[in-house]
Amino acid sequence: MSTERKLIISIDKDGNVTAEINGVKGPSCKDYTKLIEQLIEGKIINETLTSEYYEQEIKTDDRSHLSNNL
Amino acid sequence: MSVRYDIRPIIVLGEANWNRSAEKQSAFTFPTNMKSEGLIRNTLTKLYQAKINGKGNLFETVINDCQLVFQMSGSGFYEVNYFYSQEAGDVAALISDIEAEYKGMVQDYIYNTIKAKAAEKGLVLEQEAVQKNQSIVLTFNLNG
Repeated sequence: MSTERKLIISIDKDGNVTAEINGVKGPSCKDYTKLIEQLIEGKIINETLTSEYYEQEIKTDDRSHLSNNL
Repeated sequence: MSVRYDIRPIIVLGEANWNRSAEKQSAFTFPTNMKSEGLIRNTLTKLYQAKINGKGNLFETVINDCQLVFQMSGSGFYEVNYFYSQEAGDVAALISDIEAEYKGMVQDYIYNTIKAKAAEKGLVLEQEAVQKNQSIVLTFNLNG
């Protein structure tokens, strides 16, 4: 079962923005950096990596490939 | 959450873009955190139905008998110039009100920009909420 991948953007009352990528394990979450900058028309001033970033994504395709070889 | 970004939208980001043609003419100055001429104009119109003369880096209006001159500073934000020291208290109160309304306009601008860009890119808006602290939270589904 695939995890729900979500982009959560919060705009505070002063116009400051935070964006979070949820449900994407490993460095591939950074593939969304460009998208976020384009959506917000802004510059990223800080980036915080979480434990999910250091987890490895299990790809369903890889598993089925292994099964087919058995 | 795998990564979290803090972002300053360009609409609130300071940058040095002072135009040398805008020269200081007044005796007293208030710095502000406002950088968008368009949003300042919208704010002045919404709050005071103010008539605004001039455009670009230098424009002026009269509110409650105070003449306010908005001039782009070297930091990339507008400063407000006024001419009589006895108006300082009134001008400070006016600018406080203007900045408060301006911030709301900035939030609306960013909200509308994100929604428009997301629609262009085909992102699915899953949820939209306003928090108690007046933050707007948009949740997009990236699964396509």
